[in-house]
Amino acid sequence: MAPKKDAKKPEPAKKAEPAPAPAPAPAPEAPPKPAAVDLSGVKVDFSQDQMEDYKEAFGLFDRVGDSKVAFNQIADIMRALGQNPTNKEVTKILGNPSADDMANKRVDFEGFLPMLQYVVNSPNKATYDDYVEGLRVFDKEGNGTVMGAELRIVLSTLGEKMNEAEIDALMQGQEDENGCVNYEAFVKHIMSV
Amino acid sequence: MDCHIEECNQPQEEEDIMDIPLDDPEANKAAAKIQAGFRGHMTRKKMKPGEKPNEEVSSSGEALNGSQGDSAGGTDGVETDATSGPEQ
Repeated sequence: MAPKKDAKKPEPAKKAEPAPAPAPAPAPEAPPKPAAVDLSGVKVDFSQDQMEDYKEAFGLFDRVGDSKVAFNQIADIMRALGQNPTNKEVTKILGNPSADDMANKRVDFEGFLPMLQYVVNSPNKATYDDYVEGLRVFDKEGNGTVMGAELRIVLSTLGEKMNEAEIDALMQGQEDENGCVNYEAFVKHIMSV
Repeated sequence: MDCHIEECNQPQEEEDIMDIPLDDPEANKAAAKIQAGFRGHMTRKKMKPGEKPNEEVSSSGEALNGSQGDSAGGTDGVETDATSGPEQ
């Protein structure tokens, strides 16, 4: 039987700060979801011209007329503005909203800007090479082409699955008479818009 | 006794015409990156004529746009059926 060891007397916690966190992180609660993004630390740095463009695009998406857009439109606005965020990224930026939040919560232009800036600042931007290398994996014969059918399956089963309509729209005009896709040309086409 | 099976060093789960690495996180990450680029491209393409964004547009997998009446969506179990927002 070990006698009580009073090595340290636990001090009454005034401020619950068990561990000295370097950054003022919000209380961690068993995260199955990706850590939320702290947008307050994002410095918005767009030029006047950019701001005007963004404001215009933002306005196009406002179908209610309250100068805001719904959470579920954020990804698209960013894409319209030249970014390519993954859905996961957007979800994270929005603070892991529920399906309900996605449909109902709205954000105004001021709130949107740091979100956009965050994506703009994101270091993981895919380059031409990234896309080509990613597709090259499926180039069985090493001849610069992948089978359209295979690409379709990959797009619909891996990553952030695409649905048939999306894939059809994407693949339109890309497959040659043998059903093959020259992926370098494909990527160039993708990156041209 | 040896069961001598040709080329049987790996468990052949599905001899398909393609070996889709469904569980490979790297493959999935690469795929997601490609898909993000594709979705970006398609949204921008749609924006061009008439400059009016979506009515249904790119279903980005996850409950994008409640206005998509049909979208069974639900790739990740996120189901937004009813258009909660005012539809004009």
